[in-house]
Amino acid sequence: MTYSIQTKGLSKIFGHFTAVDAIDVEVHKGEIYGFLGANGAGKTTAIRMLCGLLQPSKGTGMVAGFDIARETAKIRTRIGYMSQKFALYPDLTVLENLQFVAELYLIARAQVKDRIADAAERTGIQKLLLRRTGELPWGWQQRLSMACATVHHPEILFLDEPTGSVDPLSRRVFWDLIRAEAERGTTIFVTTHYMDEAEYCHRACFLVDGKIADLGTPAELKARHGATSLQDVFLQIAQKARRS
Amino acid sequence: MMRRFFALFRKEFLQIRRDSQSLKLLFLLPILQSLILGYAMTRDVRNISLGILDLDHSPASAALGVHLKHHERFVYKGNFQTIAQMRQGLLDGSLVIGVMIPHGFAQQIQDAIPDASNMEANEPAKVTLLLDGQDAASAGTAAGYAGAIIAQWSMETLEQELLAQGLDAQSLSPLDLRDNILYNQELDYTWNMVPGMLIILVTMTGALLTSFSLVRERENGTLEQLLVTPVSPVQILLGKALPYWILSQVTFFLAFAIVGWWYHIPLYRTDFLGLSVGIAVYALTSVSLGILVSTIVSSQQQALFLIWFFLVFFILTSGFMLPVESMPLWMQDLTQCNAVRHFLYMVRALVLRGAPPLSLLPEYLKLFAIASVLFASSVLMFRRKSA
Amino acid sequence: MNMRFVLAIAAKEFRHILRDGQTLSIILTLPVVMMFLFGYALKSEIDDARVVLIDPNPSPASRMLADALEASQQYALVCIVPGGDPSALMVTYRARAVLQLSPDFGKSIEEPPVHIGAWFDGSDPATATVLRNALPGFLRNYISASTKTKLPELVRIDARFLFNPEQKSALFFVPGLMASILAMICALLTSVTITKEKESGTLANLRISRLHSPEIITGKLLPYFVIASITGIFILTIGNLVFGVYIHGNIPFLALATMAYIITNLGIGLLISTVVEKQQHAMLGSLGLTMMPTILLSGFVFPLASLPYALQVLSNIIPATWYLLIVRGIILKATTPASLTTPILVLTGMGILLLALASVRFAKEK
Repeated sequence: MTYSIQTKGLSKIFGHFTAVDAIDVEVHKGEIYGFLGANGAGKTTAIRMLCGLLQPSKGTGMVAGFDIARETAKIRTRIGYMSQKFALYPDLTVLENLQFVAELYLIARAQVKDRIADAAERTGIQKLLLRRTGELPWGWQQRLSMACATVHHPEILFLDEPTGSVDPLSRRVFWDLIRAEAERGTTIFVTTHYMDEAEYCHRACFLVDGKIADLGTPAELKARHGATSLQDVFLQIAQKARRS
Repeated sequence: MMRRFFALFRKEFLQIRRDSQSLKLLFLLPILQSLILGYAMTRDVRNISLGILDLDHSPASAALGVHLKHHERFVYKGNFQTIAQMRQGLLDGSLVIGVMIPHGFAQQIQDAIPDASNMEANEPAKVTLLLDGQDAASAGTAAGYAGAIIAQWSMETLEQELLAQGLDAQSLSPLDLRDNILYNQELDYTWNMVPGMLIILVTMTGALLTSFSLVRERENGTLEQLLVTPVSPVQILLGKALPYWILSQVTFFLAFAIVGWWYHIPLYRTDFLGLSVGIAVYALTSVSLGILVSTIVSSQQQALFLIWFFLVFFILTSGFMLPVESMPLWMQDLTQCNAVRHFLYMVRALVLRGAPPLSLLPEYLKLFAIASVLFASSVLMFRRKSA
Repeated sequence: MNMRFVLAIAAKEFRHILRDGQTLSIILTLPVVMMFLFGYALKSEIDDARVVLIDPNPSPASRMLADALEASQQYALVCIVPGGDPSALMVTYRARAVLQLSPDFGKSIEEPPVHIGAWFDGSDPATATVLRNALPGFLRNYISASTKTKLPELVRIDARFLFNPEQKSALFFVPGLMASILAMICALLTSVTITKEKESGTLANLRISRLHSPEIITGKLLPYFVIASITGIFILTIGNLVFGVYIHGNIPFLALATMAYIITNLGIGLLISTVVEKQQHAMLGSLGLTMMPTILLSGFVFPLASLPYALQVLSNIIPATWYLLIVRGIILKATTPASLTTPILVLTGMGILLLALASVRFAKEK
């Protein structure tokens, strides 16, 4: 079976510091795969390597069937990425940001309007199209980020802490969206340190000090550690952490 | 692929348009300053404070004194009694030039006048000029003026004397010099400065804005977001460079029209096609500088300081205020790499002298070479940093 | 005012500054580069002005004139042509001056008058003026040399340049350099750091904390006061060690004046930060408001007396003008502090006014 995302011994070393230490990841198509860990565990570094933003120091990785070290251009047309910080243009309107992204992904001109309307509706920002992005509250900005990341219907969606500092209502909206995307066949690779959200994932792995400490479905993980919540699982694993 | 590029271009343009304050600061403020401060940029020395130390107290020395006192170049500050007083005046800045007429001046003048028997001249009278040597530039020019004015008095007095004696003054004044000023009859100093001011404006627009924009995208994380999309680094770069390249040229022409009109510079002499080609290449240079700087710095403030550093160096050595020919040869050679120098020469030649563009072929070629190297380097550095 | 708070803010600011090695090195390198340029590379004397000689009828006399031109430091003889339009020649040969001799030049030397036409490139009035003023004297010297007669001359000028026997131009520019660089860095750094915090929202945090506006302002401005002072000392030290600039006058007074000047410019920076919201605007504003006026209207490069009257009046509100009076006086002329009371009072007054105005605005912003 071909995996959506597959890595073997993927590492990133900055000088003496090993941010990501030989991780082996296998993500099925249409799966919601959670990448969990404390701050500084290496999650963002790993995601950036998978997106082709960072060259790996060691190991290999395949995303959507293409090599992350050498075929990044081909990967980019097939993925969507939502970063932790707000990475859209505050002085542009919501609509202008969406139009911009649509153009970058070369969505067929005839379809642009519909795709944008669709993305806006899915994320609930259809009434805000003409508002300046910088004036919106954070939760709505993140929804826009989500819309921009999905407007081109990518195969794989990389979400780096999508719900950080987001209000509970928006959080719910997000995970509904994520699940809807997954049902459509999109692979979701999501990092978070909200362990309750991890329950929504099909599978999750815990990253500690750059290494994968444990991996499995939520049920498996809870059983293995004799915990009732993934939060407890994490705490147990984190006891052994040196960073954070 | 043009579509992607166009999307980037359009986005940048939207952002520039929305940022009205930057445009005001970058355009209105410098233009206003140019309109007002252009008058300050005069290397001419006027209203020279003059003091006279007359140790002769004769009609001749008084006559010279009168001539000097009433000349429009000078502002008469009074008669001094001692050299020490004069030195003090120079020291505290109330005097720029002190004229010392020595004792025996009148007699020396008499002796110096040739008479019918002796057409050979005797030793002339000496007049000493005292100046503050610390401001070498102004002092030199002031001395030049004083020398010329005193020489003029000397000539006039001599001619009067000769005519009174019935001698032919002409043969003793063998020089018939007819001098003409080309291109700028009134010797309006602002004309010389205007091209430089415009160039500074353009360079700031091109280099600073481009640099800020790129650094901001890096700081905000939007650059990273762009790099995740199918857009290539080169497309990102061009999408940024092009709007500012266009903007700096528009700024140039607008400023050119306004400032040129204000200072009554005759613009009809200018070959606008030649000027357009020149500014197009120069704008590329300044935008490239902005891009290059953005790859070396990590904050907007650093970008500003670095560009400011380069600008000061390039402008000071461009011949803007002081001529390139007066620099030591090794420095002149170094400035061959200075795009500001070549473009400044080009603009002055085209606008002030109405020179045909072909006569400026060396400048065009050098500018083009510098622009190419800078642009190529900036593309390379940008790709490297974004890999 | 609680000094602990002030120092805490100042310490944090210092850490930011020290981490920004690039900016610091530029702040220290730029003055040195400028001193070097002004001291060694930029001269105001007109040397090697390109001149074309139109000689329709070459003769020994005209040959001598050509030699005289070549020998002169002021001129660089580019070529001798038999004829042509002076304007076209000026363009073709990139000349600053064109001299035209009459066809009977060779004879007219013995039988005056000698007719010479001179054309000067007016697009550079400064050079044209110098050349034009000096040409008659040059030609008269040439004529008397070639005819071996002394032309009658009633007066000869002996120009003496006092106070600078070694002709060190660095001396004159160091004060202006200090004025412009201190102004720039104070206004720039201050306005940027505050605007940056505005942008990122951390300033709002400071405001709602227990800190009062005066404490925030003092804490934020203090490090830049120190940096500017160090820069000033650095400039003077390098000026002294490398370029031989010696402070002839009262050093403590100079220090006092410099502090007043720094505070004034910090005030300007603070004021700018209360007017704009974005970093970029703060930078462009600071650059625009301090660079041109300081360089042009203070008497730094262009003498004040040569300015049109309106601008002379304007120069009185530029802090640099007053500061320059003091600095030039003390460094170059050993002027006594007593005779500099007006400038120092004006400078201090400006500083207090600007700082007060800016602080009020800052406090009012919420």
